Amino acid sequence: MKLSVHRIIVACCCIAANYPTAGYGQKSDIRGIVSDSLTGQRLPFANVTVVGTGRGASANVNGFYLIPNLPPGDYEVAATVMGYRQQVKRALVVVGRALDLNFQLASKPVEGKEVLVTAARKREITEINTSVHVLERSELKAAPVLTQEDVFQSLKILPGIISTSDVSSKFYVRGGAGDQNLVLFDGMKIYNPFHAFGIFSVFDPDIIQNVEMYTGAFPAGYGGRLSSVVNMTTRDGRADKVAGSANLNLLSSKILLEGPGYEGSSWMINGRKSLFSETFKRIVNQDLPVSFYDMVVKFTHQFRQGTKVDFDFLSSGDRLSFNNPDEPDYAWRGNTFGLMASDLIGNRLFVNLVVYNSVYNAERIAKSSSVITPTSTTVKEAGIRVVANYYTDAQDLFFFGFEFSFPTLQYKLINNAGSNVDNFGSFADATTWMRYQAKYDRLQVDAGVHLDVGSILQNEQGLEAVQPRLNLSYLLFGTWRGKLSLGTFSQRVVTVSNEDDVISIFDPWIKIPANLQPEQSIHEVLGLAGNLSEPVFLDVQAYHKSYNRLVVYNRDKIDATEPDYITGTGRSYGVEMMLRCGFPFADLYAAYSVGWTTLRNGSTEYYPRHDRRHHINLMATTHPDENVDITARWEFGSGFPFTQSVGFYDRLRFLNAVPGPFEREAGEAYLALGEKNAARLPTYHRLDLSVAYRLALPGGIRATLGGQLINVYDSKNILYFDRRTGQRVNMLRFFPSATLTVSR
Amino acid sequence: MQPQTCLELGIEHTYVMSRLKKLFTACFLFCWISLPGCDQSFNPKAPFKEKLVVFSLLSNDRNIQFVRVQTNYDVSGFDPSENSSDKAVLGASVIFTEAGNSFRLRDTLVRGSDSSRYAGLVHAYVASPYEIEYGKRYDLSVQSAQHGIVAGSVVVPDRPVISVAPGMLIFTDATQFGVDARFYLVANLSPLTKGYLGRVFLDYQVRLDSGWIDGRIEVPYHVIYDTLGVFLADYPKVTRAYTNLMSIGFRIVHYYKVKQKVIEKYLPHDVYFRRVVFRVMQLEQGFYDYFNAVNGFRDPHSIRVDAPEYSNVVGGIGLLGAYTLDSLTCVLTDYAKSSKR
Repeated sequence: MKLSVHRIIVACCCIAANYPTAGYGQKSDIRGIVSDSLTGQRLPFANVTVVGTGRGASANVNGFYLIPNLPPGDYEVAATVMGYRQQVKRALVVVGRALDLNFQLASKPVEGKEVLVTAARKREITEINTSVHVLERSELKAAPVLTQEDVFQSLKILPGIISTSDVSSKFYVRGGAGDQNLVLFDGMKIYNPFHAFGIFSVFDPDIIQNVEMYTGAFPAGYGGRLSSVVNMTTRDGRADKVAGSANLNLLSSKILLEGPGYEGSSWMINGRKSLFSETFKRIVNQDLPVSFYDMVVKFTHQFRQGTKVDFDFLSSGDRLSFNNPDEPDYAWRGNTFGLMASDLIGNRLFVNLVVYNSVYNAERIAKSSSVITPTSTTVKEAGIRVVANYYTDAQDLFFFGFEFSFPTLQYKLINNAGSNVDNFGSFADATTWMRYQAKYDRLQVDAGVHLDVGSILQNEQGLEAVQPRLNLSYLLFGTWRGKLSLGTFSQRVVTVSNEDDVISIFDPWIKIPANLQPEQSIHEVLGLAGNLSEPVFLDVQAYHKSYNRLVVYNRDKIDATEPDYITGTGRSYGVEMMLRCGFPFADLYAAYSVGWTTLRNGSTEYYPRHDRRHHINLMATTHPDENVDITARWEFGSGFPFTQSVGFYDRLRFLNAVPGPFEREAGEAYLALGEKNAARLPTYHRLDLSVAYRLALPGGIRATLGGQLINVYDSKNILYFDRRTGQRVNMLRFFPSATLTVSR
Repeated sequence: MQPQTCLELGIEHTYVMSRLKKLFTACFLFCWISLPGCDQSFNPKAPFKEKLVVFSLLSNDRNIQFVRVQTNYDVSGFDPSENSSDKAVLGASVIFTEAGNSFRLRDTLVRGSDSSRYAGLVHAYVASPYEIEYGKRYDLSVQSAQHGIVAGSVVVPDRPVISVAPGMLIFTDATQFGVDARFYLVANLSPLTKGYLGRVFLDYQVRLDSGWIDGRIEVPYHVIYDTLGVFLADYPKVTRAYTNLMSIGFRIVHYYKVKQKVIEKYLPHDVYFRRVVFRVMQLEQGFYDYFNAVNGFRDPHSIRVDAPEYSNVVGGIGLLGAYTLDSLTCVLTDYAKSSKR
């Protein structure tokens, strides 16, 4: 198997080295890096245009652009990016020699409408994919959230993304389960990136350059999960001066330091630490002694010839410690580090390389409980990911790459039969992909194939391992585009938490049992997007997702000879609408989704726990003063399904009956349940307000005072009920909070 | 493309801001006052419907059969211990029918094995004398004026054919066999058997100063640990029957080991080993399925944490199951007398 993977790597290198460059001899390319003039940080998604020719290109996530095949001549080349002043440079193109032309753009104040409308329009209209949202740091920080900005909390305003509670960053995309989301942090896979109760994810927006959120039909290059991809790219540290910021709020404190290293280098350290468990008690109305931390360290070095090398280290940890000796404690830790390199190889091939290692461990400590048992889960993964894109003569883009990793997953528990179980799974996860992006008049095409080589080599899949991905976008009229996306996806690891849990604190990961094939889904998305008027952008999408294979409980299991899990099926479908309006006095955002999700386990069909019929997000931001932002957000969601209880009966276990007198057994009270997930919880709705005031202090210190009113009208949204005690726990009650951020 | 300004849109900024503030204030007040009233009630319980809960396990090892008849119950709160009384249904008509012959069971009280939940005796219905027959189908009907009728049926497995390989000589004339020799408890099971349990016991008598006592010890099929006075062994467990043939292997050395254990336990008294008993238990499908389902599938490797429900009682909840218990005996002709005094 190692040999086969080795062959794939060699084959990719051969393609890279030998890809034809016909016609290149008569014309030349302009290429370069777009970066911030002050901090030296590279700027992704910059538009670089050759003035007066209609030619141009967009910078990739590394700030690299390439405009191919320009005839010799003297040109003016302009680079623009949101929040920066346009820069124009002269370029003398000569035959047979590529011209390196780097841009250093000076920043300018960002206007809210530019953030919410212009950038979004730029991305969403020009991107081919139906289901991608690209959020930059300023957008991530725009949504009012509980006490501190958070990447995943911000993502949840997007249509199709729901959460089962206020106090959870865990999200569900278009009916997919919580383990079906691929989370990439600078190309490194992250498992369970949530802090205690999920109030925060482990990602601080301050270190994020941008987030690509694919809610469906994601292109080749992303795989291993059925529903969505969150691809985060961190920013670099400042290369001009040592700077820092600190934030204090009711839940946590954080500090960010960054600065230049030796020539061409920069560094950044960001750390967060929880402060007050008392605040948690107020939030979730329970005694939750929670503590957590997270830390990101990044070193960047940019070589003069354009090569960029990064080292990332992400560490996070949580602990839930209860005073009651019968209540279990929980602890989890994650450590991920990776080395990234990007460079232009030859004339047209841009390569990104990521080598990473991650370890995630979570445990439940039973203490003296006689009911709860100790359990733990560990995921270790070391891998390499190579993404290459080749710029063709025809201004098309050819992407290819591979990823090779060795996940090992361990789940230890004491099962219901009283046995100590050590479920260990290790496998080679090898994927490769090819993807071609082209434009034919009004039609844009992004077609590719994602190949799950590992599952073929391990006889887990046959032809299903070849996963076609297709995105078509047709310019109908004006700014209006019709879009179609199709794709198949597979997944080889799953979490096996009890699906009836309302809040799942402990999510053990396992490799899909050997008797089952990997999970598989097929996405079909139709979209229509365009401007209703100049400041009003509308995006409507209809999706259908078939789950041809899902890992579900074997409800007919009787004894040890039968598998725990079998293959089930499911499907979800729905419609999403997103409206953005950018007026000079306010930015408005509205998202509505209606969806249906059903799962089938044998002859039983039911709604999964996260099936939400209607979901509305409304957000408005106004800037009464250039230093003041006021944001209001209202969210509505119809009730989630749950299973009602229908009384108790005394169930005999017949433990004495083999053989013995069963008639003397007292039995144990068994809670009988009704039809699975046939009832619905009450609807959810909540209004949040936030105010941010920026002020300059002596000594070049900038401060931001923030105030938030969470759940303004004190809606009593149910979080869960405890069937044993009947205790109803509501989500966030009315909760004022404040933050202070100082930076220099 | 630059966004249009207020003036370009024909809107005066101050006017817009003023209207916006009024609108915002109105919305805020509306939300503050009215929306908390939108909180919906929520009932985690479905409407409770009383059902009969019936448990009965027929067996051929005694001539008395029991049926436990109860109801399910709800409590005003959520803690089942609020229910402090046995929810037995009295006055029900409980009838076993076999080949057209009916037998009505009568009320009785038995002493519960655990008084922590319900104090006092446990109600049950009893058929006595009532011996079940191999291969016969038994129908149970339980009728209560308040709770209606529930029913179930079970077919008792046929009598198994039990043998020991290579024969009883291995116990009576051990000189022909080495210490590594094995013996096998073999049975031709009934096609109606879904699970079986084969066990080997050694019966003995000890003459104490106060008189004779009888004892029984089970022969393990695997000894895990036997050092420093700690004896840890594996014994046969209920196993699924995939074919009609049951064969369980034992090492003769383990038989000798348990003999020695008994002798050491009663030193310096004489121990007389009377017989080796080979016992085969057959579980029909309903009992086998229920027994596993409620005991974590009895799967030492399962990673499931749910507690599934199982019932084969039509119209109610519970189990009507059956098992047979048969044995073969090898009488030990040479009494093994303790040589250590």
